[in-house]
Amino acid sequence: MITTSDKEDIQRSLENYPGLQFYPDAEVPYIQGIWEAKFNGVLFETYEVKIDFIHGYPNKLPLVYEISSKIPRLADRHLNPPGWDACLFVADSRWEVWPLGSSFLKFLEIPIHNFFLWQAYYDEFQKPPPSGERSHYDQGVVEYYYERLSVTKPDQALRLLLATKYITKRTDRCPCGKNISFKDCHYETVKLFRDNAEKLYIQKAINIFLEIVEQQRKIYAQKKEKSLIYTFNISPSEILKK
Amino acid sequence: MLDIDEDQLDLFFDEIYQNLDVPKDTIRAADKEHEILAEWLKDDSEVKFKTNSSLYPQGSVLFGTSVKPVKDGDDFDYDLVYLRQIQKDSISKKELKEQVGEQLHRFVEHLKTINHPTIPTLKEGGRCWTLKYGNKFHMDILPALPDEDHTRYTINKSDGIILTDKALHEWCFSNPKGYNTWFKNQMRQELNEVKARLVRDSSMNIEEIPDNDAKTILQRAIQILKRHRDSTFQGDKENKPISIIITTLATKSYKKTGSLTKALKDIVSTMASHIETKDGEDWVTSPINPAENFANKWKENPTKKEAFYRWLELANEEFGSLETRGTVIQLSEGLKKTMGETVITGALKSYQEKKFKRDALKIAVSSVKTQTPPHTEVKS
Repeated sequence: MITTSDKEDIQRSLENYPGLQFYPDAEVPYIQGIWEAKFNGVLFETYEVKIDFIHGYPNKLPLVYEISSKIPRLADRHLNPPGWDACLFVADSRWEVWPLGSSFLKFLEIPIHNFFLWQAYYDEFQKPPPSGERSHYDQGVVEYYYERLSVTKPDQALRLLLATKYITKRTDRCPCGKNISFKDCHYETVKLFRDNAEKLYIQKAINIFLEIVEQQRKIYAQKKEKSLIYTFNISPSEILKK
Repeated sequence: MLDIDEDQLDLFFDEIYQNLDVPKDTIRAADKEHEILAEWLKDDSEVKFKTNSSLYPQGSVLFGTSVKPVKDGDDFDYDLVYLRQIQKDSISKKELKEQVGEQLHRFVEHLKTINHPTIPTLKEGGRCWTLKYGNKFHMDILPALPDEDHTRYTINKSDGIILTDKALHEWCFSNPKGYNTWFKNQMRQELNEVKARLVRDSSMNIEEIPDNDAKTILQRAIQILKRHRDSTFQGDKENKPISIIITTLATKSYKKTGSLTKALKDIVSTMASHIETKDGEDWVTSPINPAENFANKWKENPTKKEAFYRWLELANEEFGSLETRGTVIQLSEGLKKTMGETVITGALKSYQEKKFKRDALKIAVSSVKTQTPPHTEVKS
């Protein structure tokens, strides 16, 4: 069940969206209607949409469906099989895109707005826009952290994510591996993640990077080459054991 | 250096194709009249001649390469084969032609008695009969018999037909269904991709979408070339290169680059290389019958050969170096003379509207407030 104040917030958010109708008393409350993919007054495309407020809202994201099948049911169009709900963004980035406590209006104005503009562009040009897309599945998560942490290697991302959980002194060498102090390098970014990102997603991302690093370590071990991966004395597994 | 980028050129030429394509409602109306006639002829043949018959499209209607007539007042040509299941020894060429004429005459009378909305007028041609439906289209109905020789063609062997020449002296051979199979097979994958795109904009399944609702780049290029030919030979219809030659050579020259303007350039620059010489004679060999030469009239009438090469040279000048012809507006001024003012003016208008939308979309996707690239997280 969603709370009365959430329902009021949703209803208020729809004031500038006359094509959308809210059904708050349905078993699963939902919005249905026409979404206009437009920008600066230029209408590019319309999509018939349904937005389900599933149990756990707003902690759980509403599920957005394009119900007239205008968008092909393909993972490449960022619809999640088997139900084909829209995959609006990497879940790990929720704290930046639509933080808990924000109005539903922001959800309409940013992720949904961007998603359908992206689809309209794809329909017109038959290719994704230059603003890009994330790869499918875990690779998309990896790309998000690389971009957000400004790093290029899995061990760098892993150590920075670990630094959100375990105390690293500001004067220590930065976990990214650069030969400068943490405070002059990634301290502020790590602090942002530590204060805002959901712990569950951080832990999932740590597991993803840990697996990548371990795989690479095995490859180097098989090749009997000196490990090129670790720039520090303690491996991530050992850190986790502490 | 390019004056116009490739995307803009393709967009503009796609709009040219849209403006010279026969409108869907005209084709649908002709399809409907075709169905009514086919059913009536089938029933009438069973009763009167105790034989089966069928009526099916041929030529550009079947291949999806029809173009609007150059003159605004002219109507669209819908070609049909009227295949009667009788042996050629049992009927003379004259009888075949006359029996069909008599049937069509009674068909027109039948339409009058049922108050059919459009009553066509019947006119006799060299080897076909023409039913003219108002100002939008006419049907050329070509009487034909089955070709009993099933060894003539490499595909659709049993779909061969025989038909009379214009003077009713000789039997001629043809296989429109076989040629269509070959033509569509050259672009089958692309055709299926275009259909898949159409599926999502309609409630139909992919199998229900008519082949010719989905136009590939090759079909569009052929339509543009045919229009260029029609405009070039407006005052000399006798010598204009025949469509089957253009379609065959264009298909053989087609490279799947995904670009309409590149396809046009490839076709006009290489189509002559697919004309062979056999015993001093020019050959445009039928892709389904190695013994058939589509250019068989060139030897006895060299003016037709000269006309083809003259047209190809003009087409090369027109489509061979599009990217260096200034802006789209400058290019359109030149094309008005060779492709027709109405078509190019209409194409330019819709091109500008579409370009505005595309430019706005580019700005829109690059101006989103927060970068939230879509992602897919659930594996099927």
